Amino acid sequence: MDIRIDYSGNNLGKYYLIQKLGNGGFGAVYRVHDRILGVEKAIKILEASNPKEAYKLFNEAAIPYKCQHNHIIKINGGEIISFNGELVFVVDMELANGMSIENILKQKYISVNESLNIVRQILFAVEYSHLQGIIHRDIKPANILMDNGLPKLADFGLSTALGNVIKPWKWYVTHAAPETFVNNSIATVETDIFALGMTLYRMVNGIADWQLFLQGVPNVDKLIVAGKLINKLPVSPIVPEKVHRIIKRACNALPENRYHNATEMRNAIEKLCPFYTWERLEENYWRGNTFSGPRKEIYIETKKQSIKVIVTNNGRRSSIDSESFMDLLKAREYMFNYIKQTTIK
Amino acid sequence: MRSLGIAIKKNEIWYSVVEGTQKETAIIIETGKQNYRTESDTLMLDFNNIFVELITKYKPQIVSYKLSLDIKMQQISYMHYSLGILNLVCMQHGIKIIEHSSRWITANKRAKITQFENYFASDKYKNEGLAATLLAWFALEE
Repeated sequence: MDIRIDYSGNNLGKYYLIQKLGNGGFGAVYRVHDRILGVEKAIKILEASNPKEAYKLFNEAAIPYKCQHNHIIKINGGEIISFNGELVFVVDMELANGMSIENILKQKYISVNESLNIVRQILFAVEYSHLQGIIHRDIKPANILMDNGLPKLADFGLSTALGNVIKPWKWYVTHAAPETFVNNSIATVETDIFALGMTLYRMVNGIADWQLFLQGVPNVDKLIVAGKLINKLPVSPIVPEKVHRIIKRACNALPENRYHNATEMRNAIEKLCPFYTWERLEENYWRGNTFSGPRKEIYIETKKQSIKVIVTNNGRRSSIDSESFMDLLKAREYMFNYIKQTTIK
Repeated sequence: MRSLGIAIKKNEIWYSVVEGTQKETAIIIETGKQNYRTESDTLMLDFNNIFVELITKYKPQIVSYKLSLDIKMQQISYMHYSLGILNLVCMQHGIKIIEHSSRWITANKRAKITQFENYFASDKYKNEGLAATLLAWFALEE
């Protein structure tokens, strides 16, 4: 079975393949109909051409099965099935009804506070898997799926036991901590923390196409290996310093300077007091909602003589917060700074 | 035996893990706190996640928590509902759970606190940290 081919419309054992969702690390993921239970699920199909080696694939199901958590995609089981005379290993999984964070980022802006909330919940999952002795090794926006509004960590295909020796470059390279680029690198909690920091960076800065974005960074490969990439990446003007400090600590080149566990990083996020969740309606038009305050809107009004940044509270113009400027750059700077200052208390 | 004491306040869950066959031979394994946000949309799920994490990490045989009786209406969601979640999580994991009121801790002119401070020769534990540790220590008698 060639996993690169789309087999939608075929039957695979009890599964009817409805739609190919994508290619995972070493297999293809499909939305399927389980004809016995009469429900939709997701399955991951892995080639098992050598039956004697097939047992090596069992960890694809066994490892995440050990990590049953509210924020981890549930594994129902794994089995070897014959498909067109060839053997494949099938991991039977819960089907998330939402998109991955990577796909959401391609479509829309995720606010800083929403991003923090998603990563905060994923940190529960990461801490739980670490307590089970499992290092995920592949934490990235593509592996965070939304299910009924809840983020869930998926794809434990690269996961390994805490303390295992890993071959260099066998990581998701752009999220790999610098200590993983040497021979006999070890899977540690801090390597997952590093990947979480990179994930949070991409989310709060609203980076829609990560690979394209990195093409604009000079010497990116050297920076990744040295663990200095995060210091060279631009920061969106709406990201509060406290949030960027959390990212920089998680992505510190030295593992001992990072958060020592996921709980420590989550506690740092919990201590931030989220204030306004800003939604980008247009490039120069934002709306902010909060638990304890008026709904705000901020936008730039351009007229012949002047450029104004207008701030409204529940639709009423705030003369204290609204400002006039001579040029658009200054106006945008003020608007972004206002958003940044009101994102967290 | 290993016991886990829990005392909750706004935005903080204090916990303490105490081990020993009886109070007189007990040692404090760890005392700490976990942060949460009372305004969270997923507050009950957050409590569930925190309690599951503590139980998975420390594997206690018994959990003892502080029940505050004189709270305001707006505190109910995090001061009382959280304890319902704690009871559920303990039941799901087959762990015995007991509760004590805040008055139980300070009863008889703070006799339990004095006993605690004498045994551990320390007065560094304060407020919720003290409550969680004292609850875990007394739970060894259960």
